[in-house]
Amino acid sequence: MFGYITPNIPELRVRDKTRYEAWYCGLCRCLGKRYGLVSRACLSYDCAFLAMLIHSLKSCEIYGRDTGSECACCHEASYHSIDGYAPLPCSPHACQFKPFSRKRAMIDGESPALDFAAAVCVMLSMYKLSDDVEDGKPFHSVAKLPLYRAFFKAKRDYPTVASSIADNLAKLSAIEKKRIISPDTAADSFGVLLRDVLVASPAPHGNAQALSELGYHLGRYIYLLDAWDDRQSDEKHRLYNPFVLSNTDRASAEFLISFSINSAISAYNLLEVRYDRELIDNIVLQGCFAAADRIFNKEGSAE
Amino acid sequence: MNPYEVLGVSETATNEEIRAAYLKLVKKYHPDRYQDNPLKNLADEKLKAINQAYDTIVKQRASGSSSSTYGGASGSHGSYNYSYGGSSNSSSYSGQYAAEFQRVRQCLNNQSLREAAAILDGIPLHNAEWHYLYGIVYFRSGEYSFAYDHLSQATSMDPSNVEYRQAFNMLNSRGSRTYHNYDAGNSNNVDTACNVCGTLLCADACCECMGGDLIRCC
Repeated sequence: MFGYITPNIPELRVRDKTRYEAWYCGLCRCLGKRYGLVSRACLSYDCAFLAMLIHSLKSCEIYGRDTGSECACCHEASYHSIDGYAPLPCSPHACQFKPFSRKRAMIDGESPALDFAAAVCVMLSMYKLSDDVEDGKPFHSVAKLPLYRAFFKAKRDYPTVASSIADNLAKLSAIEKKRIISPDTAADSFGVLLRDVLVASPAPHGNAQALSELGYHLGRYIYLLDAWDDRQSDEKHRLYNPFVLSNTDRASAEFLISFSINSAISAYNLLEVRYDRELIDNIVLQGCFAAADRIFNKEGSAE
Repeated sequence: MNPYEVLGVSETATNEEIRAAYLKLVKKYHPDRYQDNPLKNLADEKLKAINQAYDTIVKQRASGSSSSTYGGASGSHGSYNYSYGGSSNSSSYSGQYAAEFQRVRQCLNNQSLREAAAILDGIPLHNAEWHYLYGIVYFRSGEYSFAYDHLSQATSMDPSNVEYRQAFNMLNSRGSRTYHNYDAGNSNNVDTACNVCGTLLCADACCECMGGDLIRCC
């Protein structure tokens, strides 16, 4: 279900790419620090995006640019901030899992956004594994065992998020059991899930309405694209997939997915992004369509 | 707030640059783009701020003596006036079930979707209007694929109706790739080999009309 919110790399500047990798590695480090070594396996691109989006949102106050110092890796200028949301510089570190490769840029310092994204990462992975077990992959429950400690800690840290995720996934599995044909209904519950996650996030709420709309349509987009991507294997294993049940053709699926992306972009345009603006613009404005293209074209070559 | 910051330009930008940035932003937050979107109010506020910022800059530059160094292209600016008609629900009904359809429209105006759907379910006559209204109900409740089916049905049953067509086109454009391509400037007119050959052949034909020849072999 993960990995559909990624940048469109060919259009990304090199320093923004460095910055993206720094966020990804920074989230990995944050996972390790807060939830233990095993939880690092939960790392996903979507949560890296979540961390940088929440961290960069502008609240109502105006922030001045600090003079002088800038980050050594990506030349992001440093700012003063009032609410603890200073831009995070990155610096080169060695990766624990790749001891022989060169050092790479990682986000330094702490941010409530990173902590939040790490918790969401752990919780979503855990629920995803439970979902797999229900879908008839009993061995995935083995993978859950080492994650329990991290999961309970994440749940304790953000109880409202945990309960809203659990509620919405329960709704989703009810829809799956009823085998509802409409792709919109199924996508709706995942959209609501991501909306609740974003609304509960520690983002400085300048415009919570736009943020919730963005979350809803990104959630829909993730669900629909994932359903389209998995539709052949789901058909084979007789699992629930709205696109298989409703026998949707490619054009209608593309319409639904483009609709969600466009609505997400409309909402995103109303948000004020303070830091890493060009990187986040790239992910939302181009990356989603690029990911959708990737999935649909993969399809075309297979046929 | 600093008007230059609102438009996203530097204070040393030329008038043309400012105008270009301004027009791009107006397109981005244009009410047409946020039609039937819950974020319409936010977009309107944003557009208002942009209009204000642009007016402030234009006035500042017109009055300040230093601004005259920025070149004299101070043509007819004046902020872009958008007119937004909104959906005019003035269509009068006649014929069967006219009262029911009118009530459905009222429900839609009051955002009571469930009631509207209940009334529509009770109407056995499935004409273009019925499909249109059901399409709108589905659209507002987030069932976009059903909305698409009903609205396309409505337009095909009554192709002359402007209201149905507008709604269908709006939905269609929001589901297309090019919806947000307001700044795709040069990506559309890339010269391909075909274009080059075509141009050469045209040039050859013109030359031949005048008695000359550009490409000997044809």
